[in-house]
Amino acid sequence: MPTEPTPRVRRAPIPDEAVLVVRGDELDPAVLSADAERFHRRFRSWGRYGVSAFLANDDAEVDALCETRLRQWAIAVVFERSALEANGIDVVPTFRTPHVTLAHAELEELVERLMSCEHRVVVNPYHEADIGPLETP
Amino acid sequence: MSDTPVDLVLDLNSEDDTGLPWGFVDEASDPSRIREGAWIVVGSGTARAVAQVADIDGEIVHVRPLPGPVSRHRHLLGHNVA
Repeated sequence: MPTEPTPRVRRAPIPDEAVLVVRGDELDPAVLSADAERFHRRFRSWGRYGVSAFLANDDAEVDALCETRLRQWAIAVVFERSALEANGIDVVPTFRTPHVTLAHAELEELVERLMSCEHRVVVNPYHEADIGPLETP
Repeated sequence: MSDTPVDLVLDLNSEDDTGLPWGFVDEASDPSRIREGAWIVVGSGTARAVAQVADIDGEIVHVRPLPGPVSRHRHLLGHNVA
């Protein structure tokens, strides 16, 4: 495996106006746990579990994310960044803006804190549902 | 959860320095199908996408997902243009 002890953390801190954090899909503890374990497996020496999400300044930016990065999901969850941080989850600016990693040292704590954190669910108006079963080409 | 089986489990929210979603080869249902240029179904949870394997770096696979439902792009599956 390539040597990647830690994820790349952007030098610039998260802007104050980036008050929302958006992640595609419903909050499913099994999915969150699997995604966080996969992240930890890759960046093991960082010492934290993490799941990916995206920053947004306001609902217009949430809508823009739904149209672009989150198009594959019928719904997305929107957290207040302050609520995540109050729940003990680190919101780390990783890789390219607006990507962030929601991180905690303990896997179960990360999942439980995400599940219990106040959030709202938005229906993605840009999502296109599958029209039928997958056919073998 | 979606009923559509995936060739490679990965979080479509994820990215790394490439800006692309990534996963581990050994999480593929059939790792022999994970080749650069191959079109595969990826996702986790309720999300599915047809994606092209962009590169394989050791155990890490990067993919370029196509927007829209899997059914729209199913004609690509099984193709390999590497």
